[in-house]
Amino acid sequence: VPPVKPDDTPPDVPLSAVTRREFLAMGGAASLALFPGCMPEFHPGGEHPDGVRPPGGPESVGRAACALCVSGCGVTVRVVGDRAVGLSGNPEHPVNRGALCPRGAAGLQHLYDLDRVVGPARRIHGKLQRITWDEALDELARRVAGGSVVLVDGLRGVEADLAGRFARAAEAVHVRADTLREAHERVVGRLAWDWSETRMVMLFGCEWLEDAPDLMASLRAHAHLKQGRPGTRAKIVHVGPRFSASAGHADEFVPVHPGSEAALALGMAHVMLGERSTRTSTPPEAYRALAARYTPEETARLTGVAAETVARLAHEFAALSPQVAIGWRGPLDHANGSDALRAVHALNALGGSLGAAGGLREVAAPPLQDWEAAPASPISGSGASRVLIAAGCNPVFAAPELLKPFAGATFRVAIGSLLDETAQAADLVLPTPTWLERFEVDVPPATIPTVTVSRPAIAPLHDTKTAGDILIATAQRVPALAPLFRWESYEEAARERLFGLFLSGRGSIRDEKWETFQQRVEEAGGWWDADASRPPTPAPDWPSDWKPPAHEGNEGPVLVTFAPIALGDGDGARLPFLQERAGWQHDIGWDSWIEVNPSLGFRTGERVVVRSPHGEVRTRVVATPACPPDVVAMPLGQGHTASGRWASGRGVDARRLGSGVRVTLRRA
Amino acid sequence: MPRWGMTIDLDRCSGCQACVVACKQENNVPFASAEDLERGRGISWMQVLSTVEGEWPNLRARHLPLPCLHCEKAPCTKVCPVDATHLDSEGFVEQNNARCIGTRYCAQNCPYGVRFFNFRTPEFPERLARALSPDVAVRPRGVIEKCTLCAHRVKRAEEQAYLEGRKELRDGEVTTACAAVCPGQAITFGDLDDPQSRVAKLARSPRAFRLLEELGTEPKVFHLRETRFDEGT
Repeated sequence: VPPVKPDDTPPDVPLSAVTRREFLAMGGAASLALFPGCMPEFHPGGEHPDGVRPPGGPESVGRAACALCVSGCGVTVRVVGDRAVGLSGNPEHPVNRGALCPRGAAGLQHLYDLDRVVGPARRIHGKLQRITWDEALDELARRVAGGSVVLVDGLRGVEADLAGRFARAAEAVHVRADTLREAHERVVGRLAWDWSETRMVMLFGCEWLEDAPDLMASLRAHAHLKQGRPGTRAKIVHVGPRFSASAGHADEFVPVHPGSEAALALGMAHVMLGERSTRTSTPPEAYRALAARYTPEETARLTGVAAETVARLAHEFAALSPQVAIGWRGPLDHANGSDALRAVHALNALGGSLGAAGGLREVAAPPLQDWEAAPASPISGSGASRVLIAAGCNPVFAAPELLKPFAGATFRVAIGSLLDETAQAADLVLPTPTWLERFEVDVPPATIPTVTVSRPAIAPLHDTKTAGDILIATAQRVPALAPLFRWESYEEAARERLFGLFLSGRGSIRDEKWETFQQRVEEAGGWWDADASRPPTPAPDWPSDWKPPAHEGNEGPVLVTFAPIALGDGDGARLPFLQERAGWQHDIGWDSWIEVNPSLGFRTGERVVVRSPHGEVRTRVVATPACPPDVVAMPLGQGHTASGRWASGRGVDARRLGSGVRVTLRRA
Repeated sequence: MPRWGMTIDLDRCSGCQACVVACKQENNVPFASAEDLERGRGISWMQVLSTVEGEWPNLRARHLPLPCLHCEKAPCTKVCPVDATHLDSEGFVEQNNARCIGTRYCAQNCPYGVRFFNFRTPEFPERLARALSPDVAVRPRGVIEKCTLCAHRVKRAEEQAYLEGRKELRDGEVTTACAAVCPGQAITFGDLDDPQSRVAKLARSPRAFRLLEELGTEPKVFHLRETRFDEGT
């Protein structure tokens, strides 16, 4: 081994731990003098420094509501001087109890992203140019007043409520950006899982340890169900087309043909109904007739699961009460997705776990004070021009199908923190602060009424306004809307809703005075009520039909897509800590890949062209026995064309191939 | 004098990578570029190893969160020509950046592959440098680095206890960044010499085992698993 020469960087340059520019920005020489720790230290006879210690400073603690996924964890921010230098979970917060997922743990790279939008910009002659906030808001107000509005919103908590109010008042078409979650909520409602006593979990295409309806809840539940209760051990069964991370952590893996998860659910229902082992009032006739068609033999034909296994799973599911069945992404990826999800969710009703401890409950709503009602239709837009506003989401990348009906929009507005694909296509770009720089009241989907309150951990880095402030300021510039948005700021509007918690006299924080109540809630990072009575859990939406999916294309394996924990739907791709771990199981970072069975003849690392009826992409192969020979799998979340330097141009977007389609592979 | 150690419960672990990312943030470890990864030069003090074995559909997955195991008889400390790494009085296998001359003998001699060499000067582009922790020095090019079991956190907690007139830390008073963040609470950190500590109790559990026990390195990081790690699931 040739000796490696030690670094010969001159000692007075603080290496690249802190760039020159940053170093000066942080106070440069002054901080050197104040904090001798940041001077390079030398070992007496050594040839190079001990390394550079970044400057210290007065310490403070902030509370924030993580905005990187729907779980809504409470976060503690460590602030040194004017720098946020560490994130940890808020130990008291009922959603995460001190934990964070990798996305939350990488959150500072969201704050310090190098490609954030630094101020409002208008597209002039095809190029984005900086304008003032007054100009931007005047322009937006003029467009809103003079046309019909489409609002695509990926906002959360009270800000989402405000967007809803804006949309109703302006008679806008209001679309939620998270299509998967919307589809899920349409079928099963807004439900939360109570894992305390659960004895069996069946996951139907749900990669619950990477990508779940509530990721933090399932990461915590996995540990609790296996080792959280001495003497009691839940059984975890994963049903899906490939041996994923979730399948590898399950007690039993039940491989099924892609998209046929629902057939197994119906086959199990057939057995349970036939043996009268259900714990529910009689399901409707249409459902019974549907389940009657799925005998174990028919189920075996459709899914590839042996008839005896179907019956055994049904017996176990009926016996191990309370039990939970979750369907997510996989089954929803096919044309019959909603019916598939209904079929899976019906098992929860049959097992009697709806509303039970250890089963599913309706998300508990905290007693937030309602705003004064906003009557609809006060503006009389001509409807001739169409304004498309995307707030807190990136539908151009994540859900292009959502935008198809609005292709004729004459003016596009992007409200967000990053120059992403949606901002690149916008006429007006309005930058927002990140979740660490703002006041927010978030309402996570928990089993007990929970409100997360965050106040800015550090001052905003750029010339930004929250989406709430933008909507309020815009409305105030439209005479018909102004009376409904009389708040000075979004913070004022959000605080008004907190008043309901104060009045309730319940929960983790009670106080005689409104001022001290607010202060204490901010210091605690939120308010929650562990003793609240549980809302009734709604009856399921029973399925009356389900058809096996037809896979587009004539030949080749079926392509299934999945969202790795690091990338999610594409949001994670902008964070370097997550990009380097995109495919950590295969030592792949900053790229996409396709998982294929070794019997297809491709070697790991080879580059291939993957072609479907919808398009073709080039990517690298991972040969793994985790995929059956008739299935190949690709991760979602890569293939950005914008969204900053870390996301852009990495890997390919598997959505271009369509989902549940047959693909052909050839060497590139 | 405490003897710090750790247990990692593989039954609780979901392989989510939160520990890996939290460790990087806490300890000023730079992210690896695509080129670094291609050349096997990424640095991760905490890593999760993962394998899938068998043939479809008879498969078995194993995963293993792997920090430095802070062996009581650490092979790495015996080969350093300049004494840049040694076992300290509280049980940490310390790495001294200032003494290290980058021979990489220690990395060669570590049976667990948890020592990392700085092949290049670490980069924290522009504003990302603002997220650097003031507690930990950024290592220069040419030295070895590895998990410290968050010794800086222990030191800070000990200082605080001293100020409060206490000689010893309470069990659970200090923990590592990876343990603090873990959604499954799979990681427990504490004093192995205190028989009442959580970590000592877990290390005595029938589920506990130590990696490559036969080498006699006596790791102070124990893993826990319902079934034997070298047998089926």
